[in-house]
Amino acid sequence: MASVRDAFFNQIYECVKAGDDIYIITADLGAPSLDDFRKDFPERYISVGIAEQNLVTIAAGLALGGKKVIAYGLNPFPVTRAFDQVRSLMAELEIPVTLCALNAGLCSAECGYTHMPIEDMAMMRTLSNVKIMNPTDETIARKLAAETVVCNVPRFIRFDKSIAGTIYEEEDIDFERGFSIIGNKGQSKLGIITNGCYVKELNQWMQQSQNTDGIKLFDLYTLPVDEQALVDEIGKCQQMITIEENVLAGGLGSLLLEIMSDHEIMRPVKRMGLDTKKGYYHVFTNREYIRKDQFIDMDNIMKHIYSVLL
Amino acid sequence: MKHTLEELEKKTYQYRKRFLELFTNIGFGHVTSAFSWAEIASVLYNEIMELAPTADQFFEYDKMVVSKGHGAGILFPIFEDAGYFTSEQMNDIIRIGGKNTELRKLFYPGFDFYGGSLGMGLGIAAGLAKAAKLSGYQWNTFCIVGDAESYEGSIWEAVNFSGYQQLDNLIAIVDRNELGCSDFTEHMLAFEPLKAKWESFHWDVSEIDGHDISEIYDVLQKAANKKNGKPKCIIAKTKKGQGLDYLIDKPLMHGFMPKGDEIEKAFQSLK
Repeated sequence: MASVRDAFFNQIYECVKAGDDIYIITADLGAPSLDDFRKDFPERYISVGIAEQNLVTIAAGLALGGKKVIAYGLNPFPVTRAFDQVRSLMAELEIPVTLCALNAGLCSAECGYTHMPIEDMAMMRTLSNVKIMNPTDETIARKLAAETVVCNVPRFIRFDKSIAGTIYEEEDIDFERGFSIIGNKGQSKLGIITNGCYVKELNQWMQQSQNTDGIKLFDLYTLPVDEQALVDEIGKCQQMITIEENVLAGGLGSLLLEIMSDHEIMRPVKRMGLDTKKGYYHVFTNREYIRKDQFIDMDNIMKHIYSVLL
Repeated sequence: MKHTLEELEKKTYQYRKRFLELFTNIGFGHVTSAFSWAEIASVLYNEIMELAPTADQFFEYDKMVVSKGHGAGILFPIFEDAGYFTSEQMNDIIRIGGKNTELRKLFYPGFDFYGGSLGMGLGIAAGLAKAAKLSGYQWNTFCIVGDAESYEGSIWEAVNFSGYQQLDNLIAIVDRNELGCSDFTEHMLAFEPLKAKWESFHWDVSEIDGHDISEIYDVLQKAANKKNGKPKCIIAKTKKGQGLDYLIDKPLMHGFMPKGDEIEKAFQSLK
């Protein structure tokens, strides 16, 4: 079983071995899955050092020069440090860089606030022309890698290092639609909007638990989603919950409220995510600590779900 | 040389004059930034660069990155002169509502990216130069960098990268007019010794008078042909607002555009 990051890079390795012309630009970040790539294709592995602004500009220059490039850095820095580069080059000029960032949400919370990509989704959502991808399993990661070879649009891929394993079959994945539904496919008591790490956790819990038949679990692995398709599915739900390890401002909860407001859909919505009013953590933390403190741990999530379902 | 010095001087005067026509008409622009590198742009486009005639021949020709994007306006008259646009097309583009995106497509040959958000262009140029190396293309990438733009740390990230990668197909020209927006660079946060700084990153560095067409031609000609494993940096000593005595070398004139009665004065004092 490989992490989504390693499933992605293993596939890239296979593509290059098969003759695809891809370059990886890295800001001093490796991966077990990149060791062979570095060894076997050293000219295709270009390091810019810990310099995320240069990561994006060099990648953009190479792309303008006709190269297919993956820029790889530690999240949130390719977004928060290099946002102006991403905004001007990937969004405005639509230079087709695939920007890969390791870590999403709280998966690296033990490193402190600096290393928590919890605003990057909200920031990237403000940009046009850049697709935001959150691979939920190895199938998505491999398919994303295979698409990177032919893709000619700017994309931002955020890897949660804790996600491994397989949920989907390849035919389940539709990057244009942007989301898949797990669980109830018809009229549902509850729609849960999430992506990344929570999909696997909720899926497992739903399979092992009683009385979860009324749940329609939305996995929004590509943003923006096909809005009408999402609206059609929301229409089948009586209530909605959004769950994310992002700041609530601008995250998935905001996204849902915006879409519901634009389409005049009236439903109760509970947003579960990181509340900026709580401020920052000046103690040693980890993912579980923050989840508990923010009431987004699985116990609390289950409590909310059952309060709707039962 | 394809032109005489006199012809190039005359062309450069015409570029400044046409710039004034176009941009006083729209009412905004960065006249002092544009005029600072007018001679450099004139020599590059008329003498040094091999320009792709059409966009589909992009990969066979030299590249130009205008990192100090505020000065990009001087290229409009140059492209008009080179026959990429008619005067009517240009007048139709440089106006509120003019089709900027169309312009970008048409400009693609030899004008590959312009800044505006400062500090990005040199990284783009380095990426282009690296792409050329990887593909075995023979063209050069030129990049005009503002000296005050070089306060951006991203410039030095790209300087470091290019020196290490031995991008001898990359030629950066620093428009060393010693002026930022609010003050002279050496009053705000001194750059000197600037030459030594670039050299320490394994660049070949020359210093020239950035308004002397003969000097510009000589140094660019050498830089474009010298393949010694080092990127080239040309520190061009210039005056911001060159050509307009009443604006020249003055702080707080960044982003200035003559308006109303000043327009006539600008045309009269143009040199």
